[in-house]
Amino acid sequence: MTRTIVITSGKGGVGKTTTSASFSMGLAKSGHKTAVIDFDVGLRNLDLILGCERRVVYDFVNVINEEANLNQALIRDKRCDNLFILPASQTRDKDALSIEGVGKVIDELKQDFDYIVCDSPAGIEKGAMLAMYYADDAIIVTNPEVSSVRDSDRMLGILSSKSRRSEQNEEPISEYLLLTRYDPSRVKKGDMLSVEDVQEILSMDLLGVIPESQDILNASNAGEPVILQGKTNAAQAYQDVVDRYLGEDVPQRFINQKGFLGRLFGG
Amino acid sequence: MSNPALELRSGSYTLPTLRLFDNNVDVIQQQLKEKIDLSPSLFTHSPVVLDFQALDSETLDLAKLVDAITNLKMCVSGVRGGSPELHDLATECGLAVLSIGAAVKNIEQAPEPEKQSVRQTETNDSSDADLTVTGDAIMFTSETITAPVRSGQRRYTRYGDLITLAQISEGAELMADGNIHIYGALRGRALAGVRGDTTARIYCQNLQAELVAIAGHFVVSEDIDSSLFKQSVQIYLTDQKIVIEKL
Repeated sequence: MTRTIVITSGKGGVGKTTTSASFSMGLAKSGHKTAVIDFDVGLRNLDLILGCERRVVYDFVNVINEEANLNQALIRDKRCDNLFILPASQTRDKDALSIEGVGKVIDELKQDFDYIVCDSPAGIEKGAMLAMYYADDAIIVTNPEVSSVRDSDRMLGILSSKSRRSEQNEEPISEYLLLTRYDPSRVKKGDMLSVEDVQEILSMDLLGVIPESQDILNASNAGEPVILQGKTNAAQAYQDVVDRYLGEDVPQRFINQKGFLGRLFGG
Repeated sequence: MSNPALELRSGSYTLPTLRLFDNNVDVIQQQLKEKIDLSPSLFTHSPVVLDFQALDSETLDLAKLVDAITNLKMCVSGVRGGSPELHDLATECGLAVLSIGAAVKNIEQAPEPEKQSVRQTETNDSSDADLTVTGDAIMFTSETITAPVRSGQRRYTRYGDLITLAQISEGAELMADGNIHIYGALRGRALAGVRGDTTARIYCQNLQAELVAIAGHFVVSEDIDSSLFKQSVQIYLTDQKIVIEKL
C-alpha cells in the first residue's frame, strides 16, 4: 500500500523543504520508489534543494490542467533511481491547485510509487490545505521556539479536522514530530525550548531531532539533500528519522550536548 | 388512500429568551449586539423568544424590534407575557404567543429589574426556557473528547457536559451549556454554562488556562492566582464572582 506523507508546519522557514528533500531521498535510498511533490506553487524551492532546477520542463500545475502527463513532469533524480520529483509551477499561484486535480495526481502516483511525499507550503491557506488533505502520515516540522510550536499545534488541529481521513471518518492521520534547528547548548542556557518542553506542549511522539548545522545550508546551496553528506550530524539525524519512520528502533541522538570525549566514545 | 404527507407531533425545545426591561428599541439593539459580539457563533441564526413580563411600558414598536433582531441574525420565534395589545401586535407580525406556564417561578427568583444593568439583555437563560405546559425534560447530551483539542479548534456541547481526556492547547476553546471536565492540561479557554447556567462548574487537572468563564463571568490568566498554576482545581460561580479552588 502506498503511503502519502505530508511534511508540514504552519510556520515558514522551519525546514519543511530541507526535510522533504532528505526524507524522500532517504526513503528512495532504502529501496522504496518515492515521489516528492512541491506544493509551494509560485515559490518553488524543492527543485533547488534537490539540484534539479535546470531540468524542470513541465510541473504539477501542468499535470493538473492536463497540459502534460505525469511521466513528462516527473524528474528522476540523478543520484538515486528510486526518487522522482514533481516540481511546483513558479509562474502560477496556489489557486491553480484544486482538490480534485491533486487527488487525481496522487491516485495516479499511487499506481507506481511506494511513498508520496508532499512538501507543504507555509501557512494554512489553500496550498497547505491541499498538501495535507490526502495524507496518511504527517511529519510536523517544528523549531524549538514558542511561535513555531503554536503554529504546529494549529496545524495538528487542522490535520485532525480538515483532511480526507477525518472527513470520511477513517483512521486519523498518523502524526510525527520532527524537531529541527535544535541547539543543545542553547537549550542548556535556557535560550531554547527543550525536546521535553515541546513534547509536553504538543503531546505527541518524537520522530527525531535535527541539530542546527552549517552543513544544511551548505548542502542546500550545493543542491544536494543533506542526508547524502553521510559524515555530518545532520545527515545521520535525517537517516535516523527515515529508519525510525520505516519501523526500525533507533535511539534518539543529538538531544544532548556532547563534548569531545563524548563524541569519541558515544554513538 | 394516498401516503400521508405530514405527521403532527409535539416536541419540546429549549429556546433562548430575551427578557426586555425597556421599550427603547435602539437601546435593546445596541446592548444585544454587544452580547452577541462576545460569542457570535452561539447566536447566529438562533431562534429567540421575546419575554415582555418584566416590561413596564405597554407600548413597544414590535415590528421595529423584530427587524432589529433579524438584522443581528437571530430569528424571533415567539413572544410571551405582556399586554393583550402586544399579543395582537405579535400575531400581526407572524409570531407565536407562548403561554407563561412553568416559567413563572423563575420570574420570582429574578433580581429586581432596576438593579440590573447590562446583564438585563442576557439572551439565554436555560432555567426559564421550558415553554411547554407539560414541562417535558429536554434531552441532556454529554460529549467526551479523547484527542487533544488544538490551537484554533473550538468544541461546544449543547445541553450537557463536556468531558475531555486530553490536553487543551493554547488558543483552543471549550464551551458547554453544562459543566466542563478536563483530565489533562488546560492551556486554552474553557467556558461553562454558556447559556446562563450559573451553577455550572469547571473541573481541571492542570490549570494553565488563558481564560475560564461560567455563565458569562470570566477571569483571564493574568487574574488567576499564580499559586493555582498547574494545580488541580474546580472553578465555580458565587455571587457573580469566579472562584477557583484547589482540589
